[in-house]
Amino acid sequence: MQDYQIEQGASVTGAPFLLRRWRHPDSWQISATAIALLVSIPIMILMASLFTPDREIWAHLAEHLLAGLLLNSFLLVTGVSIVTLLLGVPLGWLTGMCEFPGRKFFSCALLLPMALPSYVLAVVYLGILDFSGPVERVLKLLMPDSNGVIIGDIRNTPGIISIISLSLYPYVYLLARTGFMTQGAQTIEAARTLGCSNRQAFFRVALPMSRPWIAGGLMLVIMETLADFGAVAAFNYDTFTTGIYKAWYGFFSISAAAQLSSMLLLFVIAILVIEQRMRSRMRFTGINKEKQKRIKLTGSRKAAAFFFCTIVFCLAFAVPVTQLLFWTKDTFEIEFGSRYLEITAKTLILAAIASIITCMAALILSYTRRLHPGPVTGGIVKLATVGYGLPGSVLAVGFFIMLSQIDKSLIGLADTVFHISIDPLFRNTIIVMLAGYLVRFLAPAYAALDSNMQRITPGLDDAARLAGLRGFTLLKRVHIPMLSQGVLVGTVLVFVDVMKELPLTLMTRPFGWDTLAVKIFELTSEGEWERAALPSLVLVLAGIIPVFLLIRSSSRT
Amino acid sequence: MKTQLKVSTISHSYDTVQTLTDVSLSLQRGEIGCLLGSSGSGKTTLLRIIAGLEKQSKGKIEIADKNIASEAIWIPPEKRNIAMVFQDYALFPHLTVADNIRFALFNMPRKVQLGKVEVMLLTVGLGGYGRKYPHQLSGGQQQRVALGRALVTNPDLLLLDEPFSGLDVRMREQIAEQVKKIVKEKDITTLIVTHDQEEAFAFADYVGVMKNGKLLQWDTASALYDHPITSEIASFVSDGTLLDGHILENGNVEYPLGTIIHNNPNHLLPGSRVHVFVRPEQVILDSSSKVRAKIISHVFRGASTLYSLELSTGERLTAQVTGQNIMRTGVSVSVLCTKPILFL
Repeated sequence: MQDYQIEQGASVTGAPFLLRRWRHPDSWQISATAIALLVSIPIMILMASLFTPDREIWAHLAEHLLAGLLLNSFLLVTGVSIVTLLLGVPLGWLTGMCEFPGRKFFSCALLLPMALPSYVLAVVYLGILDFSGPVERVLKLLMPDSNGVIIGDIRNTPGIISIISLSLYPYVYLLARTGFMTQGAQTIEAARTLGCSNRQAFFRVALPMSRPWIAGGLMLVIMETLADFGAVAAFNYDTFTTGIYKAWYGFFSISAAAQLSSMLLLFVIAILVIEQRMRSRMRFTGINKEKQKRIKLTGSRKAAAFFFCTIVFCLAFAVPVTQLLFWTKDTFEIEFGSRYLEITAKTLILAAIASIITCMAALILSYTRRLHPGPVTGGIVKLATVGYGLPGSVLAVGFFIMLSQIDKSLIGLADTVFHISIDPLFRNTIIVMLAGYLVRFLAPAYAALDSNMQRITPGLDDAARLAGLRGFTLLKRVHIPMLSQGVLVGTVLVFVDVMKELPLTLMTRPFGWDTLAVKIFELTSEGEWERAALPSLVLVLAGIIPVFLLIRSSSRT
Repeated sequence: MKTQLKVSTISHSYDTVQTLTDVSLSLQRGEIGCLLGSSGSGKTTLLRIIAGLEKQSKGKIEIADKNIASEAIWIPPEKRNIAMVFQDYALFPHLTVADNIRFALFNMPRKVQLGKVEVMLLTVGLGGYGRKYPHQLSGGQQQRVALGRALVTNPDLLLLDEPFSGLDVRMREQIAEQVKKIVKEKDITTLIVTHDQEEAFAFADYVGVMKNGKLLQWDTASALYDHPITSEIASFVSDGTLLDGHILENGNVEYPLGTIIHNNPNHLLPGSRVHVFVRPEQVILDSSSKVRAKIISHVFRGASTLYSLELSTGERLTAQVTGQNIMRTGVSVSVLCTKPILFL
């Protein structure tokens, strides 16, 4: 229906009209275009480097690295996909459509692992299963005869797959659950009256109908897996992101890093396209207004559902958080000090600046879309928000190249025209970092804001005007109160995401701008799991805030 | 004739709220029954209990003399051979029309399935639509797919939950007529739930009026119209006014529109108060009547006109008068009622 209207609108007003509106752009349109350019230029620089390969570097990469990186990434993505599906889909079905003891608790609690960045989870499990860790000690007590290490090193392919799956399954879980619930219990009932048992109804109706949701969740998981840096680095598992980092710091080769980034970018864009397609196929049919009729589980099934949820919740959240609390207790006196406070302060300052800038950019996009609806603005918004799927390390490389090019031409310009020598403007400032954050986190901020913006219908403006409100008064009395919640949510989301962001910060930070995430990374590379507990715990606590926002908004709809 | 559906003393409650109390009804093979009631009357719950989507707390259901739900036995919905058409059709959006229709035939050979689908598509008037998806069809077409999907299994009982409420008024009658024709041809026992009295009367052999979880009366449509057992049922199945009356010495009833011959079988004392239900179509203007009324307002309906009248005794009532001559407000007329319904 909506497609039809858009089509009709386009044929009536036509392209000339749209262009006319964009021929004399106002300041909103100019700003929105600038934001979209800021996002797309680094992407284009990287794409250009894909098509203009430096032969020598390319040969080196192809010979020594590429096969391994491709195989590792393939194994990781495949493994994580399978495990997140096996965890997320049944959990979504159980909490979304069934009734068993603890169902209400688990439907929220199973989202909590989203608060744990994958590198924190990796650190915790490396520590727990370390040869001097608690599990090994218990096993030693139980089996005093055994020689040597019982568990062995978990830094292998199944190990990293398990860790990343435990931290990413909530995406599949959340979307699968939404899919099952919005498809309505009524279709399941229809299947029952047509001769299907509950089991058959699940496989013949619920699962195929929820395919777009599940696939959408899976694409998010794959994007996050490809973007992951901290966990794979802690496990010494070489993927594209660690390859980029090593090329950058190990060989000091920007072009090798750019080469690898461009390949990763290609994969991510492919996934992004699939994800968008899945999103457009999510149709909300038969939403049941009546009370959801859940499938009551009995006997052994009831117990199995409870234990499955309990085990996943414990492994992905309860155990790691408990371990972090114990470690923090042990190391608090040593770790907590002026150096720690300084890092925390820097993290918070950075997060605050980034979230304010990002929300302002989101506000500009959202207003432009409201004032000038149409395909041109739609395209600009889509381009500007594409960055959420891009790995931080890729963005770091892209922005570094872009801004050092600008620096170089400015220095050249000053030298040839004014005959003065100037220092680089951007290099070693937090501007590279902030630009990276803006691009990476603009999408969640925009989504939070725009959902509120859409509630301010044109009719509301008209009504306010008829009531005598104009200009700033209109903004103050209608728009700002209606947008404030969206702005707040957007700011919080970006704030927490910036706190947790590792590769972008690690690769672009100027001297003296270490954050908590960087601190955790450094301690991890030295094998100091326990000392990483305090900063990890802070990140987890901050990470719980957006999860609560998510739970609240999903329980409202 | 043999009994196809027998519902005996069914009760049901959600948590602490009693939704159904001692409901009993039965249908012979090939008959169409209808449960009529406003929302919250329990009619849909009863349908869902018969389908096996809810469990009753008490009572028994038999289909074709087989016990399918009682205290001892509870057969799950997929084994009941009951088909149901849902209010919003509940078509599977990921399947084509043909795949929707053959959904329940999964135990049969593919060839048989496809043959049945072809026949059913023609029966419901959707020949050639098999490859389309539900969202490509209009509401009426979707409705017929839902019906085809339900009928293709040759069910022992067909349940329809407000099946026509999603359609616009014009289409509703047309589709209802088609559906009635199909189920009568196939001799399928059918139970329908609706809140629309006209639909119920047009569609069903037997109509039951439900309120607050109770089945007030289960009867043929004409019996329900002519002999409602309570004034509540009378006002539910048609418009009308409830007037006060009293018993005379000779046992007859006097009320504002005259006297009703009544031999007083209950031996009510003279002077006892009774109620008389008067329908607009049964109030006529007749100059022989001694009862005078003043026209307060009128609504032109095309073939007829509705007059609001005020009697000299102060009561108000409505008369539906056919014909094109519209009388002005304020005019005094003589009225009588051809068929007053008496409630003691």
